[in-house]
Amino acid sequence: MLSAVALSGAQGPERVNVLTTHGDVENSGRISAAPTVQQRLRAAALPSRLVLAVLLVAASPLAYGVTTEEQVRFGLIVAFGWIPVASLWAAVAGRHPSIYADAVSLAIDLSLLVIVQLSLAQSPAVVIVAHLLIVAFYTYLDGRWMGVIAGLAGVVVIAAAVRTANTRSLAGFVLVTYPVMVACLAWLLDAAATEGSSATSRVLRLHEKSDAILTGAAEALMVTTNRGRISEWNRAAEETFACPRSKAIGRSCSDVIGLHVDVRALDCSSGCAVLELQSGHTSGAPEDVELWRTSPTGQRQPLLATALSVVGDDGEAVEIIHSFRDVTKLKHADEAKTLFLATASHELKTPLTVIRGFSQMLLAPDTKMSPDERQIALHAIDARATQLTTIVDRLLLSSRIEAGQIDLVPEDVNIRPIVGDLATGVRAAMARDITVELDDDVPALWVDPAAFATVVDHLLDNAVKYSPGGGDITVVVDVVDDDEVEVLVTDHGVGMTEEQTRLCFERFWQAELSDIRRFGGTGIGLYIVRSLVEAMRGRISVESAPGVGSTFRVVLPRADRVVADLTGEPADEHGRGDRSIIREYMRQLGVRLDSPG
Amino acid sequence: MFIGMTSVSFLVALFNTALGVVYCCYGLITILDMKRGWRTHGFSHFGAAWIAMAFTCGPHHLDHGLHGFVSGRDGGLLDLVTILIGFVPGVIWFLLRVEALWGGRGDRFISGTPAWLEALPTFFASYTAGLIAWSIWTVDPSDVFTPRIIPNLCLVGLYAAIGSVLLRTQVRNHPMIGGWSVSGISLAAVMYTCALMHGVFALYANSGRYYLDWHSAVIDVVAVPAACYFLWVTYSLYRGSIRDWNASPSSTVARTTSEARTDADLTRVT
Repeated sequence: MLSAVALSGAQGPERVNVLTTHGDVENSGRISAAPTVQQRLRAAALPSRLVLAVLLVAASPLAYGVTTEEQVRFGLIVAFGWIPVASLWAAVAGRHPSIYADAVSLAIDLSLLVIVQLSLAQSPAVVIVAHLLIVAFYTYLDGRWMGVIAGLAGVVVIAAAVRTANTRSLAGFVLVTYPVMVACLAWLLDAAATEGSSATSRVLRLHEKSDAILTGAAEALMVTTNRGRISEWNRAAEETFACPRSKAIGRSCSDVIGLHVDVRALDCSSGCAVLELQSGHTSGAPEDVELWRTSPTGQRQPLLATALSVVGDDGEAVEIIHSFRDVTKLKHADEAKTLFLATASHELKTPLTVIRGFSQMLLAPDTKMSPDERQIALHAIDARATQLTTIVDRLLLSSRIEAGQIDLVPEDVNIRPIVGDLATGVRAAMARDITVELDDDVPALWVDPAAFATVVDHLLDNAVKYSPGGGDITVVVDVVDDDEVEVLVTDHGVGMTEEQTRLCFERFWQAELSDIRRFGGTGIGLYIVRSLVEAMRGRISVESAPGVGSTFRVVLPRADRVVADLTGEPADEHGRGDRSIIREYMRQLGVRLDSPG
Repeated sequence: MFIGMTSVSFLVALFNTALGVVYCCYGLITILDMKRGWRTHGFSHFGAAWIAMAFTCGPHHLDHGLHGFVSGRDGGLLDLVTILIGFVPGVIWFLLRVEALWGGRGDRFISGTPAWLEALPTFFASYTAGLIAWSIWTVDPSDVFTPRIIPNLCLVGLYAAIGSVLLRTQVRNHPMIGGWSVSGISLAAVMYTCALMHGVFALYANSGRYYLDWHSAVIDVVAVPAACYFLWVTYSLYRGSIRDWNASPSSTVARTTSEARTDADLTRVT
């Protein structure tokens, strides 16, 4: 029955609205105007009729004094007579809604009451109660006159009920008073509906709007009572403060988030401290207050906060709406950019100083340089110009990655010559001992050859740079499983701490400020490596220990395991590229899937 | 073995055995898929829940079928009807799964809402009401309630609820995609017809026509938590409150990249 109700509910946009719950809005990200009471009733009519009919059949064995044959006959009439007719007419009325269509629907609905009464011979009380519901329903649907018609038409049913139940003593009373009662009820219902529907719609819309804003806001939103107890806690707040809604609601805000300003903990015991801090600002609009807290991992978490009070009838604040923005990443990015400017300036200036110095010497009219010295100067200028070109190339590549402008073309690539050539090049240029372990049976990879070469080149460059003592560097290529191949680049250099391994793939990051001077570089090499690897549907990780060295592990897909989509459409769109039956199955059930890579 | 069986009993036993084998096979395939994708995607609640369902529904039908063939259980006509009606969406769904396993689409798209699809709720309502009427005819008023059928009655509600969640997912997507997924709709129908099938099974078990021995009872008891788990997973996916293999490997990788140090399996030091 439930499935029937759900499918019936999808016959038109207004029917979808009926079934749209708070969660639907969350998931679909679609906010529709709240349907009117009439729309909701009309949409719910068919599913309700079907559920009611099946329930009546299921409840028929409970009828007192009715034979099994009568119960079965009732069930069969409802199943194969009333349900199809009611559904068919609901479909017609849905396509051509009019007051006449509703009048026929009324007749069909009343016929169910007649069938109940005649088949199950119940007391008329059952029919009277059901009839009141029908009157209310049609009054809401089409207004007071339709309600009156529904009420009068019910008289026939009531008369039949009284007759079959043999309760003659009630007959006169019911026949006289019932139409009056029904007319009054219809009048009252219509008046209430007219007055209430617009207000209800407005409140519903506001409610849904505030729910959608609260749920969908990217900032952490917390609503507290005037006594500092948390009453609302949105999804972003759960993420920002790493605290589920269930644990936050009802608790004091200082217990849950523990805010600080400078070195002082905020005290909310005598009112909202954020509001107090804001009141120091003279401008009208609330301004951000910079606060911080200690995150569950023990780190300082900088936040920008605002607070607004909701004032009650007595002019006192009844609720306070807080908004928090986690600016940890912004702070890090700001620090990283400052550091990058210093680093890049230094990295660019060093070769430029050499170039400028030698070129001035060569251009000086009274230079007394020998031909050998001139040759040395020209080589130095060439080497520094090459160094400059490399730095600028990396900066440009980093900018293109950031802007999403790199177009990789994966293909079937034999990586043996690429890894071999790069290792040989570094070995010759840097005079370092590089061991390559690459089995003959390593399969081809599904990668962009230029991007793969850049990845290995950067990792080798990194290994050389951070092992100034000259330790061995090893490159191992191995098959991980049926689907993937790993490339391990290991050095025995300075290594990294746990914190450094966590951050090393971030843009502009370098292990230590002093490393800029010790090792040079702009801090974007590993960022480029990570971006290229992930763009080729691979993954990268690192294991390192200070003073021991580092191992970078790149895992990339095998060419023979990737199903090429010859149509050019995204493979996941029609499931051919995604070989997991679980993912495929979820996709067909309507669960939204991310792209497979 | 088949001598003395009525044609109804034979068909009930045959269809149930076939269903049991199909469920178990599909459970095995899902296990293999989970094993293959574990490294990339991690644990899948959806996969685990489906395996749990397959290995409780499968044994239930196998047990029912084998009782028909071996113990001579007298199959009821109501049971046969529910199986036959459930078989239609079941066969559609299973053929689509087979097609997907062979690298095909594994699904069909129905554009808009054609009249026959619009009539399906009415059909199922009539079918349910008719089935109840027929059940009333079948029930002996002198039958005493047997507590052993409680798991089956729970399964009626749970499977109907799962079908409803699956269908609501389709209903939610309908305005965005402008149509329906045959695979999704047929599975929702399968769950609903399964619910009715268990209702009829409970009816016959209560009347003593289907004797519930200890292994049948154990299978049905285990099926209840399995169905609860599947309901939780499907509802959570519908609400978007859990991330399963619907999350791309890259988002998982982004996490493992930054947390690689904690993942000893993923990082090998040479």
